Formats: sequence, structure tokens, C-alpha cells
Amino acid sequence: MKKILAIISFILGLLVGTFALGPFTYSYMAKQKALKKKALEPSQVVAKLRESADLVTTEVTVRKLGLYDSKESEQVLLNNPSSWKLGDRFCVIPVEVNLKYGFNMLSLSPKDIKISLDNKEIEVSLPPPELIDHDYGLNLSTKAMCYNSLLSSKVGHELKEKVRFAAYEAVLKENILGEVGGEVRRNAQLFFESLLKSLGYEKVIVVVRQ
Amino acid sequence: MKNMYIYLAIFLGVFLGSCGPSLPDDALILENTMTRIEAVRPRGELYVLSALLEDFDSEILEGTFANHYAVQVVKARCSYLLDLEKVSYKPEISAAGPIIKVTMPAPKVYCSTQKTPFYSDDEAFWAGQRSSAANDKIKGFVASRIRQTFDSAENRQKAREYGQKVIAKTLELLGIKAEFAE
Repeated sequence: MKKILAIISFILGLLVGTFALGPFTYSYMAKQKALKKKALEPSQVVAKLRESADLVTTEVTVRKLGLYDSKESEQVLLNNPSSWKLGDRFCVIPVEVNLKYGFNMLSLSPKDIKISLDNKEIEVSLPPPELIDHDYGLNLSTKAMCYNSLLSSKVGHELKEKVRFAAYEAVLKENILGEVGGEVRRNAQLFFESLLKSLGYEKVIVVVRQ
Repeated sequence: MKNMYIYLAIFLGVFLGSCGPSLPDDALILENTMTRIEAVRPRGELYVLSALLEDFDSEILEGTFANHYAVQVVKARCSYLLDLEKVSYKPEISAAGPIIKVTMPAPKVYCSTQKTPFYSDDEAFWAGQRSSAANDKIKGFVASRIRQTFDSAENRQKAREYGQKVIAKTLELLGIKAEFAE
């Protein structure tokens, strides 16, 4: 009788263990395995970050108005003082400049990566963002506007193109990054934080150097 | 002695149960996938398609001896914002393994006016012609046009595509394929 009870107890215990507690243990172990980090060398982390460099680029469109006024010695005027008064032959010519900002990941080195001894924390110091590509085109949504009095001649196509190109060059000289740099940095931090967490790090700090 | 059998049996049972493959469970795989996504998904707000835009409105008034003309310029900064906290991830099991159905919120457009320079042939003349309320109305009209031209269907699509690219790449790092709901 005792033997039968012992066998029944054993079978019951086996069933409870297998079907009631086993799946929970499996689930726990699977989660731990999923979150388990692989110990990477800083140089391997650098390689991983470089692979995704194209995803941390930020495109910025700048529509600049090139201003021309014949009163100002036939010069292309872009930075006009508030006292400037329009002459009898002037143009407002828009140009659309496409800028792409990103990070020169080739300048990222293993010394920019700090990993804690227990491999749980990582800090990455990214180089400052920079302009990596730019071009300009005609703007279709805003039309150019030119005015000339009866006594003055019309502004020709060649001059309009000159104004447009001057506006493009002026944009390249402007500190656009000063205006959109925050977004460029935040987008890079957001993506690289996810990337590094996928490598198993629990605490990730991404710093963008100024 | 009897208790020892029970403990032994439970231990053995837990061991067998935790071996997993003997108990294939889709729900468990999906739960595991969601745990991994929650750990690494991009968080916060993503600004895309930033733009610094200038537009203008001009006016020419015919005078007795000469015409008067003025140009009102408005410079605004516009961008789309994707709230990544509102992205929903729904795991499904396919023949090729787990896939994630991702639903993104519509990108929100933000525009703010930065500068409003005014150019004219004669400031005193134009000051007499227009009240400050009329000036504000023109500035508002130009600012509104900037927003309208920026917030085009094409730009919205571009903003969505950029967001999708970032999310898809993040999930790809986990070996998970993302499918985006329209």
C-alpha cells in the first residue's frame, strides 16, 4: 500500500512539475536568454555602430529667399540691414537647399567606448555631427517675384540664376547646425541606444561631443 | 521518505518542463519576443524632415508719380514629430518565425515662426498704409502657406518611411521582421 502511495505521489509530483511549474521555468529561462548580453570588445561595438551610420543621418531642407536690388550697385543682397529700402528694380528669388547631417563614424575609435566590468553598462562618445552632403534645386511651391519700374529693364534669367546660386552659398555659410543640431543629436542618441540595448547592455549612455 | 519522492518528482518535472522544445508553445515565443522588443525598442520622440523655410508676400501700390512696393518675408522652422511611445507592436507567428505587425501614429507637423523681416521702398508710407493688425494678418497668411506647403502628402509619406526604417532596423537587430500597417 505504501509503495502504491509512493508511486502515485511520484507521478503526481512529476505531472505538477512538468505541466505546472516547468513552463514558468522555461519562460523565465527564455527571457533571461533573450536578454543575456554577449561580451563585446570596444572595437566590435565600433564596427556595429559604423554599420548603422546611414540611419543616423538627418535631412534638413532650407528654403532661402535670394534678394536682388538694383539700387545697391547691382549686387546680390542677402543679409539686408533693416534700413534697406527697395529700389525700382528688385527680385525675390527662392532656392531650396537640401542638407544632410551625419556623423563621421570613421573617426569613432575603441577609446570612445567605455564598457563596465560586468558588461551591463556602456557609454559611447560620438563625434560631433557634420554636414555630409548638400545640393540645391528650384523651388516649385514659392515662385520668384521680380519688379521693375517703367524706366528700368527687366531682370534676366542669367541674373536670377546668379541670385539663386548666391543664396545657396549663403545657406552653406550659415550656422544651420546651430538651429537643428539638437534634433540631429537626439535622433542619433535614440537609435544608437536601441542598437546597444539589442547587444545586451542594460544601461546605455550615448554622448555627442560638441 | 515519501516526501523525498514528491520533491524528486517535482524537481524532475520542472527539469523536463523547462526543456521547452518538448512543449512547443506559440504564446511563450510571442511573450519572449515582446520582452525583447520592449527592452530595445526606440523610445521618446523622433524629429524627421526638419526644414527652415522662408516665404514672402509682396504688394505694389500704384502712386501718382511712382509706385510703392513692399515685401513681407516670414522665416519658419517646420518638422514632423513621431511619438515612438504610441507605436504598437503586435507579434504573430508565421512559417518563417515570429513577425511583428507595427502600427505607427500619424506624424504630427510642427511649425514655428522665427523671423518676419519687412522690406519696402518707403517705411513711413507703408506705416501709414497698414495697421499693425493688417501686418500681423499678412504674416499669419505667409506662415500658414509655409505650413501648408510643408505638410504635403509627399512629405508625410517621407516622414513615415523614415520612422519605419528606424523601427525596422531596430527589430532587424533582434532578428525579427517588421510588417507595417497602413
